[in-house]
Amino acid sequence: MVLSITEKLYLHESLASKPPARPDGRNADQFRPIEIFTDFLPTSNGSSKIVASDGTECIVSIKCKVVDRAVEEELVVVDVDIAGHRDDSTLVQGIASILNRLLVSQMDQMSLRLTKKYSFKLFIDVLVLSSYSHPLTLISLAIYSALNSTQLPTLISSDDDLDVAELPTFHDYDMSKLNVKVPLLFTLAICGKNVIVDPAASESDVANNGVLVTWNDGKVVAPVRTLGLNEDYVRGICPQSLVDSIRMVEELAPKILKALDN
Amino acid sequence: MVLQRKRLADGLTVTQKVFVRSRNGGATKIVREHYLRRDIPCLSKACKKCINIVVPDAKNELPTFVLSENPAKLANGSRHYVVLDANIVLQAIDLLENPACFSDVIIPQIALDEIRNKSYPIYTRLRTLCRDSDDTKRVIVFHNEFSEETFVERLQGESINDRNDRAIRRTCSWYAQHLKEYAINVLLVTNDRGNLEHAIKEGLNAKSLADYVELLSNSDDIKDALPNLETFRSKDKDLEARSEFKFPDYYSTARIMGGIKSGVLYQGSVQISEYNFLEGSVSLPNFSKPVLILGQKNLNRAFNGDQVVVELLPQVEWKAPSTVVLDSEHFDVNDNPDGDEGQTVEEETISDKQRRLLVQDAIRTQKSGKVQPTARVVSITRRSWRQYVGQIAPTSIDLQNGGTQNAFVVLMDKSLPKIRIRTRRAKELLGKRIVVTVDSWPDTYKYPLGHFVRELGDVESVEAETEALLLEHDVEYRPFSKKVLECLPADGDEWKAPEDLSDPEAISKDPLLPKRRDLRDKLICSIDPPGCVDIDDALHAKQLPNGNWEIGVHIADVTHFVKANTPLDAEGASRSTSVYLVDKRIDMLPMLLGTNLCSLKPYVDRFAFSILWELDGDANIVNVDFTKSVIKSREAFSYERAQLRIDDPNQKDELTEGMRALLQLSIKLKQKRLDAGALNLASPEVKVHMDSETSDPGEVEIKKLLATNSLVEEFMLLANQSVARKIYDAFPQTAMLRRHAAPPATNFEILNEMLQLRKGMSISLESSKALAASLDRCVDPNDPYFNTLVRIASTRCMMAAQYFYSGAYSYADYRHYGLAVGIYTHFTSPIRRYCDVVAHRQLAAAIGYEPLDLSHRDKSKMEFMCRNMNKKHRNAQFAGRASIEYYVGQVMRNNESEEIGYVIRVFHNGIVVLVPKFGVEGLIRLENLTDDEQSAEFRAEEFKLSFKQGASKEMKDIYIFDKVNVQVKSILDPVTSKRKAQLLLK
Repeated sequence: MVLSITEKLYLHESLASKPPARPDGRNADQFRPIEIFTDFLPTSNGSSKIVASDGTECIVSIKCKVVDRAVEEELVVVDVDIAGHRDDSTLVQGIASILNRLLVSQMDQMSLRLTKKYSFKLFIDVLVLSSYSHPLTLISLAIYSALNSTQLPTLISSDDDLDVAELPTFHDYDMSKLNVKVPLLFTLAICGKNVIVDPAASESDVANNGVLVTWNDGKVVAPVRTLGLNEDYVRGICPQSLVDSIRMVEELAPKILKALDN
Repeated sequence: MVLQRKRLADGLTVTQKVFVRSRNGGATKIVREHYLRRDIPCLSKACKKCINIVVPDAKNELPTFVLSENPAKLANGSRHYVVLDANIVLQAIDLLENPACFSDVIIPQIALDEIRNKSYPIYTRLRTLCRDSDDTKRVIVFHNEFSEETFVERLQGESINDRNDRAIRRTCSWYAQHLKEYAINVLLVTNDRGNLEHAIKEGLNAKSLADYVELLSNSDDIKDALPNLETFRSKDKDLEARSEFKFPDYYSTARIMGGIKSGVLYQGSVQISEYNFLEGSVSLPNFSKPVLILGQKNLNRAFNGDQVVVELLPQVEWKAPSTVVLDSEHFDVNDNPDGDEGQTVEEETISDKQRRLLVQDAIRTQKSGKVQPTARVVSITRRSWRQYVGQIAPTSIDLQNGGTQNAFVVLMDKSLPKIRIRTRRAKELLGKRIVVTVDSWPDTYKYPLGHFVRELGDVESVEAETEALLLEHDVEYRPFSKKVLECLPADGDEWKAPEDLSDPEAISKDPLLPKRRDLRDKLICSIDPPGCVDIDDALHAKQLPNGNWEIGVHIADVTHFVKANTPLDAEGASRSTSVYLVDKRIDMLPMLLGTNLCSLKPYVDRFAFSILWELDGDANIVNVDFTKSVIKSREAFSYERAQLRIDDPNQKDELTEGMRALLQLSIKLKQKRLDAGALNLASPEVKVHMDSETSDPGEVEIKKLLATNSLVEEFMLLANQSVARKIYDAFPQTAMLRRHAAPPATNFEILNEMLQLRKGMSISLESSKALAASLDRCVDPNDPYFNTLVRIASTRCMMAAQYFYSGAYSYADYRHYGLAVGIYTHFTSPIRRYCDVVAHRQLAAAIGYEPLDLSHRDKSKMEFMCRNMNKKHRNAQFAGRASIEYYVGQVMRNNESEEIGYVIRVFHNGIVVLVPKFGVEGLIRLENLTDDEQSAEFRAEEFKLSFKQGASKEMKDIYIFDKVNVQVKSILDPVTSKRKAQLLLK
């Protein structure tokens, strides 16, 4: 939906007022309703589908492969595909690089380790079927639920193969749950002095800036960075907004994790 | 993950099968859709419900109901069907084939799948049983996996075996429920303890095999054929047997795969030494020589021919190949079958890194010294177990005991261990040749466990011995099945080649007829051994106006009758070759074809595949042409008669002149071949003359060769080469060819050392030509036979020639070393060799006669065929030799004599002597050479054994190649009841 300049101005001023008046009536720290389904793809090791109330929809599938750690160092690869965007567009590549860097640096690689030589390598395929607002938060939530529903083949051979080489052998049916701490990404929009979470498309259009905050293992971690949400309203960011964003995530994240884990 | 069933239509449901496949260290989750249906009938004639649900199959035929409405009764009078677990079929297929028991049998599909994965031969036997269901035996497969009522889903944490067992129990309970109203009991028979316990807990009627047999009214007759297994019902006596002795455990699959991948474990097939059954060797790709495996523990229950995984032993345990003769029959003769004992060996673990260093040491050591790397078996990939022929060792049984007892069966194959069986009829079976199967070899038993299958007859009787040797060499000798015979031409004996090739009526029957060439005007004759009835080949020669010769080789047109993809073709492919025994021939193709319709008999019209050359006066090929033809042979000669006719100056007719020309050309061809370096090797071939009336063996004769032998041979070689080139041109990837690799120098090392040391001679290995020349130089002026002896010894160092398809090797490797030709195949004996049949089809396609069947254009199918051909070919040779050996033994039984022999091997405790007159070789043990065994001295490096001889107590030295006088007599070995030549030094 394209807004006129006057409409945008009106919206911006509403959002910048204290307390912010959001077009859909949410509080500053309120998410839109989402629906998540997990484990619906039989051939993958873990999967999830997330649908936001504005119609943004995202599917994540996780597959695994056994690799020799000496040959392949990176044990997580994220591939992002957004409908309507070319694979080499800035949006797709930017999101893919953020997710890749984040998961490689934040996820505990030990949890993928099989033996002294071999590990699982995870292939995370993200497919955004339709997006009306910046999809990063939704993707992050989908990856979180997919990884937490991932079942990996159970190793039945010995895990010490340094001296006496063994090829990993797996149980022919049983799977074990992957136990791993998965980081979450939150996008927040800054309007004036206000910080609002999970901006909708219209809100993104008039935000002065976006902030990306990462949450992992009970605290805010790197990267925390800005995110250009539009081209007309972007301005510099004041340090207080950053502090506000982080504080808001610290408050919100535990509640969201609780909701996701149930 | 929750599996759901989704209903697609009435009677059709879909669900999913999920499993993880580990392969090469990877783990793939696999999901398959699995369809369930409601129209699978129980196939019992008693059932009145299933008839309403059946639907026709793809051929629009309704399933036939097989199981009897009035099945066999148990001893307690109840009528029953049996549901079998896979383990019962695998262990007791012989029992299942026995007409006295198992009359109505239900095999759940899941059990059938397991059987197919574990043993394909047993699977085919079971399938045959199902197919041939009749009045006495009715076996069906129930597709429980596809029936909505009997499909079970796998539970979390449940092993696949447990799940399959549960599926079998479900099938059984479904049947029990289904047939309840018709008063038919359904009995589950399983030897799996867990399955049995669960079944009983679930209220099913379940029994172990032994218990089930007890329930039968004729149980006493059947008990003997029960497989001997270490069942969960431990028998008291077996407890003793399972004393301290223990073989090392096999490695886990994960370790084997990892080890092979990282190059510390190796896979190969075990070859047990023919002189020492505790010494085996494995040929491994990285090593120039086979790696030794010494001793019982290191062999770790491997049988001759098993596919095994080995690991190298530490350097301190490397040894020279043993110089002691040891066979299972004389080893531990007095071992008690009721008790095995042994000692435990401590062993330390070596890391893979150290092992890799060890491999390099091993390869280096192989190149240098006498000490050889040794290895031990850590896993057996594939067993070569089959049915074996042997006899009960008399010392192993208690004649007073009338009940069931353990007995050792000594096998005919000396390189195999004794087999422990349990039998009630030990006394009765003594002195009989019997067939046994190996069931298992648990690590706590010193000898493998087996069971009695059937008896062949008295030891030494011709029938028993012939059948024994056919069985031992895996030769299919049963009559051709009905299906195969149905493929023969309907006219049978009456079949005639059409008079006129353009006769429309004949063409309507055989549209390819106009493509045949009429060669009935050619003066064709055949030359074969006397009494030959399957005449494969015939020849003709005719001078052309330009002075060149038209030579024709005509080969029986077997492929006209044996079309690809018929049961007849499949049977031929599986037999692969005819087997010639002294008194018997086992045909590859049914008699009607082999000795009549295909055989190029004289005076009648026959179809042939002809090769026509134009040769110049020096036997150079000017032109070659291939064609299917009709011929009429003018005469069938034996070698002698052909020779006489050629030599008779009074014979001036055209046919004889043609034969003379053939002879002249063949001499030129042979000379060319020899100039190119063809080898003239020798084997101690003898022929047994049979008394024509009593068919008792009369005398033994060394085969004589006539010029006419090589006449035929040369033209066959020429034909084979011409065909090989043609089919290779047409099918560069799948042409059926035969190659003979150059022998590796290592094979000749020991022989050369012996020759060098004893005679100052050597054999050159640079090329086949050099080898031929050096063989010619190995002449001892004092002993004309010495050259033949060296040739025999060299033959044994050669590689075996093999069949292959052209895509398997590069062109340079197609060479036939022995014949010194670049490319070669077998084309000239399609009646008795399957290779020739394939070559015929490929040649027919190459000349545009008919299209080539897909199976001969498919590399993997050709690979499979070649492997079978090579195996059957080898077996047929061995069977033929064994037959001669047996008859030679019978001949000698009547005439004891003193003969000249040659020492061909020297051992620590004996010598092996070859007697050329009989073509036999025998071991003379040290105890038979001297009274004073302590005095004997063995020098391996000189190939010398010295001992004090006779009363004189003089030291006598025996060297390799020594000419000795030996007394030959035939004796019956008391342990093996095998008659063989006993040699005593004079």
